[in-house]
Amino acid sequence: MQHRISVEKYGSPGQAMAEQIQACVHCGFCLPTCPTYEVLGEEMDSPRGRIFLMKEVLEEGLPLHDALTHIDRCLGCLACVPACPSGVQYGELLSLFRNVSETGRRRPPVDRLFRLVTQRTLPFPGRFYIAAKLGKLGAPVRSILPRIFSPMLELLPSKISRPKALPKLIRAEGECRARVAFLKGCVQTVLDPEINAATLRVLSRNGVEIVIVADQGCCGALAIHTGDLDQARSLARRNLESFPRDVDAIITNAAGCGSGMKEYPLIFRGLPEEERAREFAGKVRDVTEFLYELGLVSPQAASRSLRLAYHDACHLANAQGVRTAPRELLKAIPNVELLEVPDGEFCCGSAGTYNIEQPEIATVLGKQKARRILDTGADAVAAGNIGCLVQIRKALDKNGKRISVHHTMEFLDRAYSGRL
Amino acid sequence: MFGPIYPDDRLLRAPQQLAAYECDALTSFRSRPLAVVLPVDEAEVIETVRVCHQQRIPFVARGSGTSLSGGSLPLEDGIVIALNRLNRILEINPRNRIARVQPGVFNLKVTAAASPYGLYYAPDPSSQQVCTIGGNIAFNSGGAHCLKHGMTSNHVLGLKVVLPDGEIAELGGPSLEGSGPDVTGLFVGSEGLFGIALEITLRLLPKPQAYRTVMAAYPNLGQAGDTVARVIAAGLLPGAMEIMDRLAIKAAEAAVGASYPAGAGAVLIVELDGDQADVDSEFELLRDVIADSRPFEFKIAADADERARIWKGRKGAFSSVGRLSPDYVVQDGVVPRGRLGEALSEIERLSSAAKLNVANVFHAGDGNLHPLILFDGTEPGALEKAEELAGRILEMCIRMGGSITGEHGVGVEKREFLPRMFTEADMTVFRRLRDTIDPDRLANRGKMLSCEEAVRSVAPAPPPDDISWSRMDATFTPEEIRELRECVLEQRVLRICGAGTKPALTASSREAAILQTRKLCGMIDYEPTEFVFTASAGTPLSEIEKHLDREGQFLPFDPVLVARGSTLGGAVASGMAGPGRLRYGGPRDFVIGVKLVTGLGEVVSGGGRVVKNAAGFDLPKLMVGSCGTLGVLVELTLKVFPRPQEFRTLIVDCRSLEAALNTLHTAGCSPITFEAIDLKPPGFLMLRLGGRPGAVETRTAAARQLLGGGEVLSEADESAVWKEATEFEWVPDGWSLWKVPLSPTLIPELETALEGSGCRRRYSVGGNLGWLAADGGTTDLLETLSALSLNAVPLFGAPGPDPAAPRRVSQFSARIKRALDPHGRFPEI
Repeated sequence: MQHRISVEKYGSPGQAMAEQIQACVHCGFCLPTCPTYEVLGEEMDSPRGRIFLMKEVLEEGLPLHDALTHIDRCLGCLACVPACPSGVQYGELLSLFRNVSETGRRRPPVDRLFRLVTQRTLPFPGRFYIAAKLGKLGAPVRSILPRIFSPMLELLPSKISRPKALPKLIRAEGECRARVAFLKGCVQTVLDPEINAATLRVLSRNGVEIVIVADQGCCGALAIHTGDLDQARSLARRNLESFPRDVDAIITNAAGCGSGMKEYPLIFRGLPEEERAREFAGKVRDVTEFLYELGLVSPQAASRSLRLAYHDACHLANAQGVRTAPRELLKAIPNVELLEVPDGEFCCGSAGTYNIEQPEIATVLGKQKARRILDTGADAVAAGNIGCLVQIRKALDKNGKRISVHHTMEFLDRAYSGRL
Repeated sequence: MFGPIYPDDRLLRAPQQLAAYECDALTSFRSRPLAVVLPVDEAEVIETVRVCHQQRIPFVARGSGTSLSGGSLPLEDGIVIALNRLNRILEINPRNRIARVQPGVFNLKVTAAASPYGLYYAPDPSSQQVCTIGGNIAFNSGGAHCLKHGMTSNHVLGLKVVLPDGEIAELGGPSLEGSGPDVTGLFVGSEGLFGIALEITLRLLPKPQAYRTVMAAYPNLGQAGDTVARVIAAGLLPGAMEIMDRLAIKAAEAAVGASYPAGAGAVLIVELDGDQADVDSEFELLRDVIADSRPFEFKIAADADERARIWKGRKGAFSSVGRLSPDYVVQDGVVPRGRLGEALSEIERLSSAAKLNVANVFHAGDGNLHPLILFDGTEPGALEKAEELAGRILEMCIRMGGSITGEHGVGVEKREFLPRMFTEADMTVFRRLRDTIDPDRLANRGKMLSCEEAVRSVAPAPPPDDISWSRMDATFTPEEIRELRECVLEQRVLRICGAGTKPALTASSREAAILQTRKLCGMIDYEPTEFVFTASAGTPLSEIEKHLDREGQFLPFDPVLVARGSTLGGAVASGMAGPGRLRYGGPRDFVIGVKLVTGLGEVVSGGGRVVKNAAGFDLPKLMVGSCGTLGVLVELTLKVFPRPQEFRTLIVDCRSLEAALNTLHTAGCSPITFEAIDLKPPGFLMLRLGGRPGAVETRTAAARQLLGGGEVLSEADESAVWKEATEFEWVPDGWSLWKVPLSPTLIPELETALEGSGCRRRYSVGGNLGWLAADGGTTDLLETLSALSLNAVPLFGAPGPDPAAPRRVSQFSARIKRALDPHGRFPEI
């Protein structure tokens, strides 16, 4: 698509954004994959429409403020990326645009407070634990808090754990087949620490030695995706420095973190850290991706036949193209029947902080996802991202259905220990 | 103005909302509308159109905005009616094999909904996952599988539309068969100029049982093109035949990784589809043909995944080109298949002269080219240069006897080229049709036809009554067009007939002179390799069949009364077809070009000589079933198919109507291909199977197994069954005969109503058509039909005072009649 963006004005991000806009041919192949287009049915709430609006803003034909409603509604699920024949890297464009727009944006005070709370707590397990505890305590007086906070509080699980220290090194069971470094993650360690525990047991069971560096931090994905490039870089720098180089892979079990770390070269484009970022990103693997490449040690059969639906986390399937690996791992458990969720390419509405920022659309998407999952007649649901797990549990609960919803690694862990 | 209809969130007026609607997939044309409205139901659309009409506000209906010809480009002084929320599938009826849908439904969703019943919706534009049925209707969209299965218009049975002044019209219906001029066929492809489709009835087909998809790689385009000709010459009719050149392969490979052979100058994709027996036998032949063509690589898709990848690469090819070049324009011209090689060399010559790169992706089987002209819009003058090259390519298509558009439509982009493809007289009639339906030119103004001429094309005043007309009972038999024209202009009232084999059709209550077309006779042009012929309307069908038979081809719509001397014009004007219509379609699905004389004596052409053509209004279809009410047919161009080499007929006596209809349903939804399924009530079923020797036996055995037995007839016994049907041998001399368009589910009710009436019945075309024969008076019969809201068209029988059953003529048909025969020279519709 032709554009009249004055590239110099925006520096190197300007060039990158212009390239993506130019690659869009406005064919519309992205429309049916876009959850907000499905819900709202409006051109400006589709990837193609948003690209057009970003172009208009960058060309200075449209005030930024006017376009933001529609840009903000984007989940960043990236379902449009694999659907795009002309190869537009929408995620890249969106992150860069959000960074540009955050600098030129005036938010109302409540909004600013809300962003401050999310951006300054979620990436830090210690702070997030305290905030979550406070949230729980504050539940009875929720009505006096600004409304913007209530979806966030609703998502808090009944049990909140104090983040536990993990050992620095975990030995491989039996022969050591690989040595990896592990990203602990932030939100997950508070909301559901069992996921990390299960992941580490499964890795070790598969002959993997795991290094867990103490001074690692948040991956920065949240900051990248909300357009806070400075915070993203500072968080990423810490990891670039602290993670060891002599490992076979850098492992994460959270889809959002994996996609965030794979984007490090992008946020350091043209900066001195770029090369280290590239090397780092080249080693980042989702745990399922890594185990599938390594070759899984056969798990024990489930005690009874289990109909298990697999949910594609957007940041695993769309952002990282990891679709086959988790499915094959789960299929390797005897007695498990793996089910595909119809319209599985649609986001569940979690999308990082989306379900707390755009609760209406997120709720519609959650409902749709719950219905589709129930249609499969599944006994349980597996997914590779904490956000999806929380969102899907909530949506199924609202439906009055108690189906267990767990991380892929938890199912494998239980199979290995004969508890499935 | 629209506030009373829409809440704020569905009436878009803010710049950021309107900006997103500025263009469709042709981004070089942009225009910001006054407002965009998002109706959620039919009533809101109708109300909006009424307000637009009252206030003279032009409107553009929009689906997914995927038009490549600027078909949904907004107008600055108009509104956009975005139909995305009218996206419900209202009904899937597996027994009648139809779907009823709203216009905003994605094309592929129809197939998804039909799939549990073993059915699918055949038209498959490359953007099928996103383009809407409403848009497909407006532009008569095609796709890779048009070669065998036809375009959108071949699969649309009925439409509920809102005309540009807010009037509602119902066109066609749920049956494969219709009565009266095929206005559904005219509406499809009218580029939104006739209004908005609100509810659409689509034909569903049984999902092919098997596919065989092969890829052959050649060093150059010429060789790939030659192979297409060889495949056709071998008598094969694949589901799809596609070619991509080096640049297109590069782009698609980058997008999908479809494993197209590396280093190929051209890749040919051929897909066979059908039942297993057919695909297996055709594949053997195809393999030999391709082997003879010496490809440097030949691959067969191993499984459904690989097939899907091959098609994903092909279908995303246009957009993938975005990877090679910042901008491109895509053309959609058609050339006769035999001139493909010549056309491609010419494109190469033109593009190197213009110093522009062109990527070629095309539907080779149809001769439908898609040159993608690559340019960089930031270079001054680049767009103009690209458009100039596009223009030269279109001119080449016209010169070669093709069309400027096969499936994308004229839109805004090719508007100036339409008058180069059609004569001034043709254009006058196109404009008059538009201006009669939409005098204010509100609906999709500026698409297909320009709006520059200030004067509306209205019909001239009728000639004064004091002219001394020739005798009313005179009979004229003109031998050439000039004579025919004079005859039309000199008569006040005219009835047109061919050989007179269906006398009741042309009977009229008004005294009228008779115009016979039988001396306008003879084959004009027949190109067996193009599967196309042109003949004069008065040519007996038997003569045409003789020509086709020599080349192993046939008229797939299975004409009736051939032995009695029926003419081609008669077959088309009556729209009548025999049992074989079930498999491939009726006359409407095979007439691709027409020359006619209007009620004003104008000699007008519509359509063309290529099998795929979306340029201008579809006059060829409109004339089907028009029975001489709109004009005199002079010449007709039809496409034909290779004839099945052998036939078998399976006779199954189900004893009861209910059992027979269940069996009919089982057969109809099965993947086994039946040429014809007829029913003699109560329970006698006749099912015809055809194909290559060997394949036909396998297929018959499969059918017997599916239906639980049945007697198999072959050769003379077999053909006698179907000759009895097409020649109406079962109708006693002197009886009246009526054609009644139906749906299978209506048969039980009709049978009950006709019990003890003494009328003989035969149900044809898989239950979509009833033939009713009665001795003597037919008043009771007509009353029965009318009570069931069924139309009846008479073939034989003494012409009474009003032989046609009272038929509701839609506003739309009435206006079409006014545009083509304003002085009422021909009988009423």
